Amino acid sequence: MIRIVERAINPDEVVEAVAAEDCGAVVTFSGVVRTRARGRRVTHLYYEAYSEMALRQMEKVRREVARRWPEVRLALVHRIGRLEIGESSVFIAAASPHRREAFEACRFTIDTLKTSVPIWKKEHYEDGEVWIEEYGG
Amino acid sequence: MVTVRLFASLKDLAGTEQVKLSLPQDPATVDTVFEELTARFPAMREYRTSLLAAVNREYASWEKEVRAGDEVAFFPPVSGGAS
Repeated sequence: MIRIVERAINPDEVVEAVAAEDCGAVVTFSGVVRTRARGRRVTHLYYEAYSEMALRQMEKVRREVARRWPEVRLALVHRIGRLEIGESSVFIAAASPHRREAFEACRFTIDTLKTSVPIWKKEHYEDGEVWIEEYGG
Repeated sequence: MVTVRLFASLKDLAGTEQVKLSLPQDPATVDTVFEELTARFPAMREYRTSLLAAVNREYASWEKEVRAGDEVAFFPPVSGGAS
C-alpha cells in the first residue's frame, strides 16, 4: 500500500495491508504533528505534495526496501492538507518474519522519505506561517 | 510549450501552481526553462541555488534536456514526514 490521503490515516488499515501468516513482527512508525517547533508554538500544519511524483518516489523507497530486506512487506501512507496537533502525517508499517528486518526497514523508510519524497510542510503559528524547506524539517 | 509546476514557497511567490512557457529552443535544458521562468518572476532568481528540479516527475539536473510537452517542476528541498 502506497498512498497519499487527504483525510485521517487509519493505522489499522495500513497494518492490515502488510499482515501475513509468516510475519512474526510488525513495526509501525507514525509521524505526529507536535505543538512546538523551532522555539515557536505551532497551531496547525499544512502539507502539500507534488502527488504524482511523490507516489513514484514512495514506490522507489518500497523497491529499495524490497532489495535490501526481501522478506519485508511495507506499507506507506502520507497525509496532506491541514493537520491539527496530535494528528498523524505519515504512517509506515513494516512486517517481516523476524523483528530486526522490520525495525531496520521502517527506520530506513522514514529517513529516506524525508529527503526524497516531494512533500512540504508549512508551520502555522499564532502570529504567522513559514514553509519548512530543509532536509529533516 | 512546457508545463512548469511550482510548489511550496515558489508557488506562493508566483501566485500560481502552474505556468505554461514556450521554449526558446527545442530541445532546451532545465536551466533554460528556469531562465524563462525568472523572466516572468524575477524574485525567483535568488532561490536558484537551493532549488531542486524535476522533468516528467523524476529528479533532474540543471543540464537535463527538456522538450516541448514535458512537465518541468521546481521546488525547495522537501520537508515531509514529521519530527
